[in-house]
Amino acid sequence: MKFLLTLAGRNLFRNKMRTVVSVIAISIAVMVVIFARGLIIGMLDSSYSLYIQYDSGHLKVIDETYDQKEKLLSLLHPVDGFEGEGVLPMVDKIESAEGVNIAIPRLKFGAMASPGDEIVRMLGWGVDPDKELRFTDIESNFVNGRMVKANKKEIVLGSGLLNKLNKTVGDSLTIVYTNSFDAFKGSTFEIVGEIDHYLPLINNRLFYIPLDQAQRILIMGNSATEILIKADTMNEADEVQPKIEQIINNNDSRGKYIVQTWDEANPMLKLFNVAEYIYNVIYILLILLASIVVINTMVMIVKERTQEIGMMRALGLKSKEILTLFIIEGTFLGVVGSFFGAIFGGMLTKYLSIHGIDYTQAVEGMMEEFLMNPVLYPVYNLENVIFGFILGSIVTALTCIIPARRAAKLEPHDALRNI
Amino acid sequence: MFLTKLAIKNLTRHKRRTIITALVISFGIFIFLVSDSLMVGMRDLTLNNSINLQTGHLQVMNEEYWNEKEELPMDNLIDQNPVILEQINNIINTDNYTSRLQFSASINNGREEFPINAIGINPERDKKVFNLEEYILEGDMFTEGQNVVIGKGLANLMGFSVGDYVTLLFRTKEGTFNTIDAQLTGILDAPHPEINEFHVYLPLDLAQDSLNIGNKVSKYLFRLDNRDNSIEISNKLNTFFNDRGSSLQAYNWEQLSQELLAMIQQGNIENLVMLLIIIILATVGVINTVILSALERLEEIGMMKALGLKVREIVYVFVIESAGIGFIGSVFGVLLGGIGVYLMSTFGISISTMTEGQTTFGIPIADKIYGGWEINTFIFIFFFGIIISILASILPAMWGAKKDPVKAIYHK
Amino acid sequence: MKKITLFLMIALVVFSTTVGAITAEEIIQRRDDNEFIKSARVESTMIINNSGRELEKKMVSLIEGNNALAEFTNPMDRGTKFLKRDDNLWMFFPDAEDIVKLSGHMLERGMMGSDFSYKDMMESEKLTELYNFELVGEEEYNGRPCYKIEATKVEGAEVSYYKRIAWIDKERFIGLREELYAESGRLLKEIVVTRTEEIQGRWYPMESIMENKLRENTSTTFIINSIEFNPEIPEGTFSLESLQ
Repeated sequence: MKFLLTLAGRNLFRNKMRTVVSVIAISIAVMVVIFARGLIIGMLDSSYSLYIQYDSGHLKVIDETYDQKEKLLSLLHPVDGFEGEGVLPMVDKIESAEGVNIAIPRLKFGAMASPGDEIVRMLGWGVDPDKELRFTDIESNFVNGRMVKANKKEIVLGSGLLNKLNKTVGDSLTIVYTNSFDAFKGSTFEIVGEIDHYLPLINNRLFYIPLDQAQRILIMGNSATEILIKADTMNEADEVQPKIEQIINNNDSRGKYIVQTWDEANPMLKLFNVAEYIYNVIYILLILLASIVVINTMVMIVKERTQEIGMMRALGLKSKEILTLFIIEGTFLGVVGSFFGAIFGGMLTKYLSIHGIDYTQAVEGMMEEFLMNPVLYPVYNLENVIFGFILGSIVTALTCIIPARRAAKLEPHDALRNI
Repeated sequence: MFLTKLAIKNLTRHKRRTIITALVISFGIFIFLVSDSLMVGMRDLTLNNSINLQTGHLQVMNEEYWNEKEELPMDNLIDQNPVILEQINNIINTDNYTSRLQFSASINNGREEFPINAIGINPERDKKVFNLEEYILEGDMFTEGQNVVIGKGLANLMGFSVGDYVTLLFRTKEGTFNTIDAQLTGILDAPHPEINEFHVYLPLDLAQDSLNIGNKVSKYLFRLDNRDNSIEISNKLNTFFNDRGSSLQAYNWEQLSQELLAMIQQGNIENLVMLLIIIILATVGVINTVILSALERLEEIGMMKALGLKVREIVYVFVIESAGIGFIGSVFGVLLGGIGVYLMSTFGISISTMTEGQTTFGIPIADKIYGGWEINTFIFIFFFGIIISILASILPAMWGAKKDPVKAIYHK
Repeated sequence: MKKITLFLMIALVVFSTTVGAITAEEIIQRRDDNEFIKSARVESTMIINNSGRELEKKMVSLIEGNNALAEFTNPMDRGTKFLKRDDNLWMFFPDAEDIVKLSGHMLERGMMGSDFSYKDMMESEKLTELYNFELVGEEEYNGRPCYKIEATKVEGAEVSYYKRIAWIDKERFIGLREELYAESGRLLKEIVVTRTEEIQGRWYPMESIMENKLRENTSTTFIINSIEFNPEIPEGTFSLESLQ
C-alpha cells in the first residue's frame, strides 16, 4: 500500500502540467457549484425582495379580521400590541426573538389630495423612519431630500405622485383622509423627500409619514396595521413563525393576531416555490455539468495512461493494485481540487454576499425605463461549501474507477499496443 | 488544404477523444438550453397568468379612460360601433376579442357590504380572450340572466355559496343608486388574488341595463396569435385611430402590466447570470479537455514540427480540429436540447406536488410548467459552442507548437 | 326655497324637499310655509351607529339662505368646519393649513361616517327640478294622518335616489317618514321622525333616525338640541376667510 501511495505521489508530481490542469478543472467545477448555490439563493431572495420589503416581510403579524380587509386599508382591526398596550413594545419583543433580524411596524391608510379640481388617491404609510430604511432599500431610491423624521409633520412621496400633485421637496402638502372614527379629516405636512422607484405603486401612490404622526391624525393610539418581520432568509420564515406565535400567545390573551409567512400573506409568492423548484432543477443540471467536466478530465487522464497501465501490468502489478493506484491518484486530485474550489468558491460567495454583484453596467442602456436595483447579493453558508467539497472529492474518486478498471483489466500487450 | 485534411483525419482517427470533448460541449449546450427553457417557462407562467386572466394581449379604450382607469369611471366609455370594431379586427387579423364593462360597486349580503370591481362580460366572447372559466371551482359560468360569478376569497368573506343571492349596490353615471340582485352561479379559484378577492363577474347586458348606458363598454380586449406582436399591432392600430381622429387608443400588454414587467426584467437579468455560469462551466470543461489532449499530443506536435510544419500551421490544424469538435458537439447539444425543450414545452413538468397541501390559501398556480423557447437562443448557443471550442484550442496549440520538437517527443 | 334644513340637518333636508304637483304642490307649499326660514342658528347632535360602534358628533350651524357654516364641537372633531356656499362645499381642519374643497368622489362618501353622503346634502337645492312628484294616497302614520307622496327622478337628473316616498303630516305639514329607493326598486334607506316639537308656532322634526336597509346595525340619529331663528349673523360669515 505504501508503495502504491509513493507511486501515486510520484505520478502526480511527474506530470505536473496534467495534475495542475486537473486540479484547476476540479477546483473551478467545485467553485462554480458552490457559488451557483449561493447565487440561486440570493436570486430567489432578491426576485421577491420587493414583495418582502414592501408587502409581506418574511413574516407578518396582523389582526385576524384585517386579513381580508387589508386592501380596503381598514383601520378598525389594528395591531395594538400585547393586550392593547401598544405596538412598539410588541415590535421590540418580537425583534428580540431568536431568528428575527428586524421587525417594523407599519400603519397603512388611504388618503387623498386635491390639486385643483382633481383628486389624487394615495396610499399612506406611517413608519418608523430609521427602521424602515433598514428594512427596505428605499434609501437608495431617494432622488431628493431625505426620509421623514419621527415626531415631525414631514412627508416623503414618490416622483410620480409629486408630479401629479405639482409639488416639490420643500413645499407643504395637505392630505385628506378618513380617521379610525370614520371622520373625514385633513392635515398639512412638509415635503422633505422624493423617491424615484421603478415600482409604480411606490412611485405613483405611496407616501411615508412618521408612525407617530399617522397614529395622531388617524386617532390610532399606539397602534399600527401590521408588523413586518425579516428573518435571515426567506426560507427561515417557516422556522421563525412558531416562535413568534409562541411569543404572542404568551403575552396576549385575546388570540386576535395571526402570523403569516410571506407565501401565506401574498399567495402570488407561491410562484416563489415554482421558481425555487426550477432553480433547483437548474442547480442539479449544473452539478451534472460540473461532474461531466470532472469526469471528462479523469477519463482523458486515464485514457492517456493506458500504455502506462500495460507497463505496470507487465511489471507484475495486480489489477486491484492498479485500480487502487488510480483511485488514490484520483482521490488526491479530487480532494486537492475540491479543497481549492471550496476555498475560492466560499471566499467569492462570502465576498459578494457582502459587497454584492453590481450589474449596473450590464443593465445600462438595456432597460433604462426600469431603474431597478441592479445589485445582487449571493447568500453564503458553510454547509453549501462543505457540500461542494464532498461532491467534488467523491465524484472525482468515483470517476477514476470505471476507466481505470477497464484499463486494469486489459492484457498487458493490448494495453501497450493501444497507444 | 492538406492541413485541413489532416485535421479531419485526426478527428476520425481519435474518435474517442473527439467524442469526449464533443460530449462536454453537447452537455453544456443541452443544459444551457434546458435551463433557459425552464426559466423562460417560469417567466411565461407569471405573464400568462396576468394575460390570460386580466389583461389579454391588447386593449383598446378611450385615451381619457386609460388615464383614469383605476377609478373605473363611467365617462369616456366606448360606444360600440360594429364598423369600427370590424376595422380593428381586420387590422389585428383576429376574431379573438371581447368587450368588458367595469364599474365599482359594493357587494352586499344583507348584513354588511364590501367594495368590489364589477365586470360585465359576455361569457361566449370572453372565452376567446380569457381562460377564467377554467378556474371555476364550484358551479358554472353564467351564460346570461341575473347571475354573477365571484372569487373564492370574496365568497368566504361574505359567506356566499353557489345558489345564494347577492346584491350589488352601485351608482349609475348620473350618480343614482341602483342595485342588482343576482344568483351566484359559480365560484372562481383563480391564480390571481385580485380576482379571488375583489372581482364580481356578471353578464354584460345586465351591467349595461343596470347602468343605463346602452351598449357602451369600458374597453375591447384582444388575444393575439403571439404576444410578441402586441407592440407592433398596437402601433398599427394607433396610427389607424390617429388618422381617423378617433379618441380610441390601443395599449399593448407591456403597458398593461408594467409592474409585473418590472419584476420580470429583474428576473431576466438573474436568468442571464445563471446562464452565464453554465456557459463558464462548460467553457472550462472544453478548455480543460483541449489542454489535456494537447498535452497528450505533444509528441504528435513534435513530430509535425519535425516534419517541417510551422507553428502557424500546427495551430491551424488544431483550430480546424477544434472547430470540427465544436461543430459535432454543438449539433448534438442543440439536438439533445431541442428534444428536451420539445418535451418540456409539449408535456410540461408537473409542479403540482409542490403546491399540494398548501391549497388552503387558495392559489393553485398551475399544475404544470411548460418550457418556453426562442429560436435565437438555439442559434446563439450553436455558434457559441463552435467558437468557444476554437478559442479554447488556440492557446494550448500555440503552447505545444512552440515547444522544442525533441523535448516534445521525449516529453514522456 | 330658503329652508332651515339646507345644511347638515340631514333629516330635515330630505323632508323639506318633497315637493309635488297640483294637490301635492299644495301640500308642499304648506309644508314650506311651515319650515321656511330666512336664517337660523342650530345646535345639533348626530349619533352614528355603524355595525355596533356608536359615535356622537355635535355641531353648531349657521344657516342663511343657500349658505351655511357648521363647526363641530365634540372633542374628537372640534374645530372641523364646513362651509357650503350654493353648490360648493369646503372644509377646514385644525391640523391642515389649507382649506379643502370637496369635489367628485369625495362628495359620495358618508358624511363623517354617517349614512348620508355629502352629495345627498348638496342636491337638496333643486329637488323640484330633479323629481316628479305625485300624491299617491293618504295614510295614517304613527297615529297622525298623512299625505303619501311619491317622487320619481326626472330622467337624466343627477340624484342619488331614483324614487322617494314621503309621509307628510296632514295638519302640521311636516314630513314624518321617508323611504329612499334605488333604480331597481330596492329600498335603500328609511328615515323616521321620532320626535316633533312646536317652536314659535311651527312644528319641527327634532329627532329622526335614518336607517341603512342594506346593512345590519347601521343607522344615524339626528337630534336638534336647540334652534334659534333669525339670529344675528355677522357679515362675511360665509366666506372662505371665516373658515380659517
